[in-house]
Amino acid sequence: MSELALSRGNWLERRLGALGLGRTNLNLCLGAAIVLGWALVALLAPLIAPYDPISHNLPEKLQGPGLLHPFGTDNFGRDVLSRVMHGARIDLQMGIIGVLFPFMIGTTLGSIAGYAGRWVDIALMRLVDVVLAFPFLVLMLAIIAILGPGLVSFYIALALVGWVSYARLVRAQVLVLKTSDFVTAARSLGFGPLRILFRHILPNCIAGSIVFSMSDVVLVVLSGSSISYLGLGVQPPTAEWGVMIAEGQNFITTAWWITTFPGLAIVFMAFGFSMLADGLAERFGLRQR
Amino acid sequence: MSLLTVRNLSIAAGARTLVEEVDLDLAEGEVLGLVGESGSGKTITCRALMRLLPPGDLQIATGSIDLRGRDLAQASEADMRKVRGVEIGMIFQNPNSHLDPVMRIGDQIAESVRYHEEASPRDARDRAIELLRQVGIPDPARRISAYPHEFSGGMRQRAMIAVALACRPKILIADEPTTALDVTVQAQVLRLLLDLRDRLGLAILLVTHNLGVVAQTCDSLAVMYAGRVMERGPKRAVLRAPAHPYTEALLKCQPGSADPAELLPAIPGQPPAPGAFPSGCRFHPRCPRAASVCTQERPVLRPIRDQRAAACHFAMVS
Amino acid sequence: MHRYSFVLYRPLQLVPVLFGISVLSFVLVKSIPGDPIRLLLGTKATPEAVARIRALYGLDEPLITQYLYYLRNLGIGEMGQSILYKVPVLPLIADRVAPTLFLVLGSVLLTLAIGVPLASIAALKRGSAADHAIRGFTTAGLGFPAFWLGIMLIILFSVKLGLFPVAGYGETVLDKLHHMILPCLTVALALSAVMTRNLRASMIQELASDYATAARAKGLSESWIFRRHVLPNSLIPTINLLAINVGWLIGGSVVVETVFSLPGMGQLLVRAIFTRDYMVVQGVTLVFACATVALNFIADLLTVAADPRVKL
Repeated sequence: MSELALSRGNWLERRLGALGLGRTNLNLCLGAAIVLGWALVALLAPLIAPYDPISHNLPEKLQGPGLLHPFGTDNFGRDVLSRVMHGARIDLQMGIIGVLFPFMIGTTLGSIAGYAGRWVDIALMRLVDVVLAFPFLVLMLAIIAILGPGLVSFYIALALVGWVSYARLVRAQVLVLKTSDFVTAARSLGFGPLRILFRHILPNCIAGSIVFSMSDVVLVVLSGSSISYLGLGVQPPTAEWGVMIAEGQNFITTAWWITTFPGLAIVFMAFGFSMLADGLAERFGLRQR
Repeated sequence: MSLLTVRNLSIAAGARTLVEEVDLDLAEGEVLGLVGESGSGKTITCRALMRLLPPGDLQIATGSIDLRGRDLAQASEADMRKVRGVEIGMIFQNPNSHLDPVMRIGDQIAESVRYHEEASPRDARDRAIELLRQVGIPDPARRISAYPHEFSGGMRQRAMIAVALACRPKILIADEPTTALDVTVQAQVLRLLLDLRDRLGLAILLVTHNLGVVAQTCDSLAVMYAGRVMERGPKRAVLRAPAHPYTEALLKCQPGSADPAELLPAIPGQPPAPGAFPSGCRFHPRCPRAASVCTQERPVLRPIRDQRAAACHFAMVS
Repeated sequence: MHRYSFVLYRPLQLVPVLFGISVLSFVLVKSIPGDPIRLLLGTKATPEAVARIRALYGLDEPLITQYLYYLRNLGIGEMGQSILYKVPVLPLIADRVAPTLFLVLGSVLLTLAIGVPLASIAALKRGSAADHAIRGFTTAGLGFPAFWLGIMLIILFSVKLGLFPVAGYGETVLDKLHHMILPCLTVALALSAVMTRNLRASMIQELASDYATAARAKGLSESWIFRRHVLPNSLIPTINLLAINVGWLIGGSVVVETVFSLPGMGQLLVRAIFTRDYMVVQGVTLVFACATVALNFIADLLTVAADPRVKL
């Protein structure tokens, strides 16, 4: 290695290191703060929301943002701010439950495929290939078409479709860890395959899945609100951001605030989880490309 | 008559000085070897001659680089672009990474011709074929449309030489051109460089850590250690009777200089990290002849005999 | 072996995936609760129609036989009948292909048109205010819901500025182009955020590469080096990135077609779900899956064309 390349590498590393360190803290802290903020809003919505999110108040309909209604009111006179706050309960729940099931199913199946190998692996990975051949949202919609619209259908469809990313991620890591020294050591001590898999291998490859699940929350919230926007997820009058945007679309010429604020809420929540994912990725030393 | 004259060149990274007071002279048709261990500053020195130091990080602190009456150390970036490739060509240690992997070999040669001479695509292509023939690649008319990965390591180094010579520069800077190659191919590439020197009157600055390469190819050499030139002079004289203890130690470490059955001697200790150099003579912690004067006073590079110079308090002046 | 010979044998490798797609789409319709014939034909079907469907799908036969019937029907382009529109599914879908294709391809082109300049500026002026702004866009852009973004663009460009129509597809080619700009922009903005982020990273890497240094030693200008060397090398991973995002792109187009009332396959799918027009749901899903496979194949072709080192 030439000395110049070395010195340049050091220089770059120093710069990147300084930057990276700064960004880890910033990403992680800001992301965690935003997510925590939304969690508080969701928990406290009934206490802190100034108005009822559901009941109509026609005399005050379609009022622009003002002192009484900071985000304005919709066509039924409902306070948009209150509805956004209550919407956080639904959308945050969608993000968390919607990630939990695919996470558990995918991690389990992926580790079994990677550890068992042979036909189990081949069969599961072929299934993954087939599921991945379908566009994510289209397959979700097709399953919801059969189950009927609603939040429960959304969770089931997500569990059926979303596990493949986790399965692939975990399988790849299990394949690497399977041949590592500490697993050979555990095997030589006579531990059974299940113990080795769940006590020794899985804990070591879960970090990647956790980081991915944070960015997956963004995807899940986006698809959940998209499906609700299409009218196939959460049903009105429940306050959910996608539903609110769908309802407000009829009034875009007169009342832009009905659609604008719920959308900003989605963007802001997604931004928080993206930052959290980036921050965690750097904390765990997994730079995502 | 010197083509390229370097005087008092120092290169700094912030407050640290990595290369100090380097003098070099390169004459037409001469092969000058710049020898040193890694970290001695030889690569930075030749990047500095091309003004290709990483911007914002390393910079020329003092000194002049005289090319036919112009000081390259002070030249503008626009002027330097007319020097690089046109008056001074450069080849690198690793031909695999220094050729663009997705551009055809012929295009990479023709590119400089088209850029600098605004030649037509046809003329540039003809030049590319001619250059590939000159560097000894068989069937050049067909091989110009090959990609770098389709060449062997030695062929790639030949192709890189053709790229560097595309605009017929008079000076070639070769940064460890054979280090990444197989031993058998190394000799071929060195022979090619000498052959090009003879045919084109090329002056070559050959950077290497291998004194064997110097012995085979160079007319004169400069030995660098810890950012300073320790000794310079005609090859034969220096290699026969080194005036600096460092040169002497380097020579003893070369395979073939000692009994083949014995382990090669090594210079005790480690070379200092760039920028963290010891006081006095930078070689004194590893020098068998070090005296108290060596720890305090830095020896200057002074002429000794037969156009030779050495930076050692104990070098004999005739 | 020739570098492009995979064009011949790759379709063979795709057979298992296509087989899986057909099984999955078959299972989908089989899982519909209730009497399949009533669901396929509606409640007012004539006895002749019922008998025809029973024969066509072999509904009295075992499942495996039914699947073989299904495959045969697919082979002859028979995808069943739409309850809502009372026409065969295949021509119904064929009518809807053009707007969707327009939307997807237009979005990819716009994504490149937005992403390449932004990534170039960010990579060349690294650490500048512009770089920070662009990086902010790439982080925030990931979380922009396409349906909301579409509505915001409508509010800004159609309602306030009156530059583009609010919805619809238009009649003449120019008219269509005018109608499609906002929908394409909607899909492209989100996708270009992902692309800019990746392209910037690979440009920075390529700018510091050895061959870029060698190109500088040839006396080429920075802009020449960027155009001729850095750009082609850093675009190669972008092709792969677009391929990975094909499914996402199609999903986005489904939503955006609804936002802008475009008569494409996505809108057809959403309406079919509402009207329980199951054969249409199945048909559209199948076509979207095959389109994803085909687009990935095209991406492979592009990669081979762009990178001489790649052999498939």
